[in-house]
Amino acid sequence: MFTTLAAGTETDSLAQVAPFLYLIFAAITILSAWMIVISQNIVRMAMYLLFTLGGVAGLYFLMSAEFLAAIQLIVYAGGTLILIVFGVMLTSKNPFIRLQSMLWERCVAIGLGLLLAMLMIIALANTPIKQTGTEAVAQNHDIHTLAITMLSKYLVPFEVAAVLLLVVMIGAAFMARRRA
Amino acid sequence: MTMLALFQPGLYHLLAVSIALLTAGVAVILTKRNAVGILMGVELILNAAGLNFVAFNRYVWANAVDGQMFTLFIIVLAAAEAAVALAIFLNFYNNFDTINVDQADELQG
Amino acid sequence: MLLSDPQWLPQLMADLKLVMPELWLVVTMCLVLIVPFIRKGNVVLPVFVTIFGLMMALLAAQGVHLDSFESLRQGLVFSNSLAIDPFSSLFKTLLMVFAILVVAQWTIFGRDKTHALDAPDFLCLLLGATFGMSLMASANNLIMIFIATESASIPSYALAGFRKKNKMATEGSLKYVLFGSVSSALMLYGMSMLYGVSGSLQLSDIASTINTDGMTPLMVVGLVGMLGGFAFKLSAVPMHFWCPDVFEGAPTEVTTFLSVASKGAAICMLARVIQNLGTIVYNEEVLTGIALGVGALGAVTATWGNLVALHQTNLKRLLAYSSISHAGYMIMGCAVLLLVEPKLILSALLFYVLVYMFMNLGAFTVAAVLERHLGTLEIADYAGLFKKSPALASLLIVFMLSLFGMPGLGGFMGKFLLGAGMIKAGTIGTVLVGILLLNTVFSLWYYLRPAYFMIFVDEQDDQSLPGIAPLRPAIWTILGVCCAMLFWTGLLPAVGTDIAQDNGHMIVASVQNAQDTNNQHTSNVIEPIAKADAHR
Repeated sequence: MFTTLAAGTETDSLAQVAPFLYLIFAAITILSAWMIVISQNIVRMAMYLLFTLGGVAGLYFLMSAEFLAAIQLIVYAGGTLILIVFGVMLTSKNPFIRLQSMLWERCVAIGLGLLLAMLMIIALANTPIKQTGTEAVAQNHDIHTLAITMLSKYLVPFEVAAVLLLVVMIGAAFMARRRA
Repeated sequence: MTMLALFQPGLYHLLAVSIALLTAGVAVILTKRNAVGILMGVELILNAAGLNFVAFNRYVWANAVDGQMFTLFIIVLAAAEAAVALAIFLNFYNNFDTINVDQADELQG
Repeated sequence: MLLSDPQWLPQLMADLKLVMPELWLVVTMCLVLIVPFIRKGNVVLPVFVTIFGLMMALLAAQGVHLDSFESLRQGLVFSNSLAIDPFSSLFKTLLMVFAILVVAQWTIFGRDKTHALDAPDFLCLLLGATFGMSLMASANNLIMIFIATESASIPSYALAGFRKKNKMATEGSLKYVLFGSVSSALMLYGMSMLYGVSGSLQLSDIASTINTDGMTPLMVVGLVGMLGGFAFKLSAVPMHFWCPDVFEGAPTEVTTFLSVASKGAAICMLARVIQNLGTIVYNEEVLTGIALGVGALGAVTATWGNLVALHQTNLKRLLAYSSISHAGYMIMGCAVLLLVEPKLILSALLFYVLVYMFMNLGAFTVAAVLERHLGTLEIADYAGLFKKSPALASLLIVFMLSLFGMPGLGGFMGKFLLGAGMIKAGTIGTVLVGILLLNTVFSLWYYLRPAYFMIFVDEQDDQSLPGIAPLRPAIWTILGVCCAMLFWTGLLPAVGTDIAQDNGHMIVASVQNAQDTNNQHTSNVIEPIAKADAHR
């Protein structure tokens, strides 16, 4: 197997490794997501969320969305998650306290979740989707195309996001600061 | 080798991960009493949606980058929402000394 | 609108002219933030700047709606992200008027030190929410719908918790932000499914996918998910729990603002989505199915709101449940948009928003006055109020009667026009009109309760109310304007409906043309990819 890896071209080798990478990233993502459900400790939950976000970034990378993978790691895992960890630390007297939830509550929640999953699977199975995106076309999903699309077709959402971030800054600063 | 070919990532492989994330997110939202915990569940659903957009973009509608664009905006707005949400949680904590949602029952009826 | 296109600069400038209201809002937001550096702790200056900016936005929105639309590519601007048609422009005009009134209300009511220090933050958040709402009215693709909803919601979360030391306010904003983020996450999941089946974020493309592929299960899941997100903004029934809590806890000005502006904007967004489906989809069965689903949502919302309102004893909570049921009436109106001539319904909806704006502004202003002077919002405590201050009590009765739909007042005309449009929609429409009538009759019970206590119940000796000090003229002006508008729209509805009807039909034309423009655009998008290929 290693000989074929060495002999093949670059794309071939990616196709060779892809199943392994997919399995690894998917396992990390799903397992740590469900560990968040099971875990009773808010700090551990934040840690598992980090692994989930990392796993999703890996899956983006696998789908040749390298830019998104980088943004996911920098902004999501590096920014939003740190914010959440700060939130955990600032809002609990003892962050390592166990969160009690009743057994039946967990059963109901997991049951509802599984019901939702069944619904989605049934909907997906009954909807024909043609997978037309080939590797060659998807190769063009590079940062160049993304940049042009963002500043032409999605110029307005881009600018609105900028304004929104200003408002968010004002709102968060107002809510969090201490003044009578 | 055939086993591996089964896991050659395609649309449905990614959608499976996305559904698992959605389910986990819903379960987190329903079980956790801690407001920050609920926010984590929301982040899981947002990731599931983002994964869907990129997967559909990659395997089905590859001639434009609309899906990736949407995921970018999801990441930006998730950060914005988390910032305001955590500021509100902090304020709630200052008033109530807890952020357990079931303590929030001053307003009922 | 790609950089490779030599026409991009003139086109950009032409498009920018159409988003002048939003640009004015952004400029005002920045100015309000700079003002404290000139004079700290001054209320007058930021308020003046805000009202000036809102006036300019109002004029800009008005200017857009007076322009002729033949030359403007049917008002679809910025690669079809936004639809600037008379429908949205008229709504924006109403929104700006309303925002000015809310700022005035806020300035009149608050008079302490923190009020002055927090003025720039409050006004900036209010302007930010207004900005998001005016974009919601124009949003024409999924990305815009999502980002506009968020930019209307996120400032609203902060506004709801604006009284930071108040426990109820804090709790209301916590519930608001949790419900809001969960529902927006579910809406996003639905949107990802819509993108999956249609391959486009444009509303018109999604509608034409229904034509080619039919209502696939995935499409249903996507539409339901998206409707769930809308239901949160509208406080429609499965997503309504936040509404009374937020309304009770938030400052009265914020409650007034959220109850009208945020629901009105969400109704505009829903109307645009449904209008896109109705214009493009030709399968009657699908249309009836969608109308049934949306109609059921509206009917359940209206009925539930009224049923719970029946045993509310707190004036603000009563008004909150009443606003849920009014949202239900408007959703019912949106439902039949697919089945009848849209012009009628669209104009009726705009008229309803107009009337609803003044009814709620008036009712909440009276509630704020009562809360401030009597220190209570319990309706039972208002016994004997009519004798003490007859003017204020009768004004509250007028607003309540208008909310109920008393003939001669604006609220009746709003419901009448909505019903007149709905009745044309066959069996579904008739059933919906029946539900509307039944709900209206039942709502009389709780709308008259404050009046009953104020007029017929005598004041108890042991807890005599402090008298209401003479109110400032500014408050009387606001109340007078609201009351006059209700009588004007109720007795001379032609004035309002003419304006609304002239503009209602324009949205139809713009949506019909959306598809052509859109197809053109899709071919443009592939171009840079081809170029990138050549580059390699």
